[in-house]
Amino acid sequence: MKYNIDPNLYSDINFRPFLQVILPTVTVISLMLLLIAHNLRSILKTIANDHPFEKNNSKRLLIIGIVLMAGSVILKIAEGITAMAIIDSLEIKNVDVTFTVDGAMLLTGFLVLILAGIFRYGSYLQDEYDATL
Amino acid sequence: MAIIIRLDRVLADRKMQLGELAEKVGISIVNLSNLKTSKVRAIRFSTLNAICKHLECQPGDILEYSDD
Repeated sequence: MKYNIDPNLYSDINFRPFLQVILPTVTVISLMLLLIAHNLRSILKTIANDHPFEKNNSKRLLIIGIVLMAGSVILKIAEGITAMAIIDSLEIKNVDVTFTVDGAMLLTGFLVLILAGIFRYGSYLQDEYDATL
Repeated sequence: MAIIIRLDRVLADRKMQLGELAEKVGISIVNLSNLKTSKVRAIRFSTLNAICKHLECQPGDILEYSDD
């Protein structure tokens, strides 16, 4: 498939505002992904060491859950702002941008928060078991 | 804690070393030392049973209640 876009059509467009919106958005999303990846890595390490109910795991899951729940809103806002920047840069007419919450991500975050609660009780039981002779 | 472990006294009466009891009962000397110094939170009946069996004593000889 080939697109024959006339280069003169968009030659005088200023992409600076578009990039000014994209860069902070990408930074925020990358930070959120890094936070999730870092905590997930720590959790997987404890599972590999046969200590899944370590005290910190519930805190890590709590962080992941909060990031996912916040991400369900932040990502959609970022998508909207980026879309608006593209629309403004390209001067596209008659296009609306709507903000919606990512329901699947919000639900996933909520489930991870429930899992964090289960892991907190699990770590309490593990602690009791370890202190029993 | 209101429950005092008197394992050291019973061991002294039996002239038995902690390591010897640990070997007979089948638990590590570190865990038995933790029990002796009241560092454990609970003790299983099976562990108490094994200790009483090898020390030829009653649970009351090892555990003592003290009203703080």
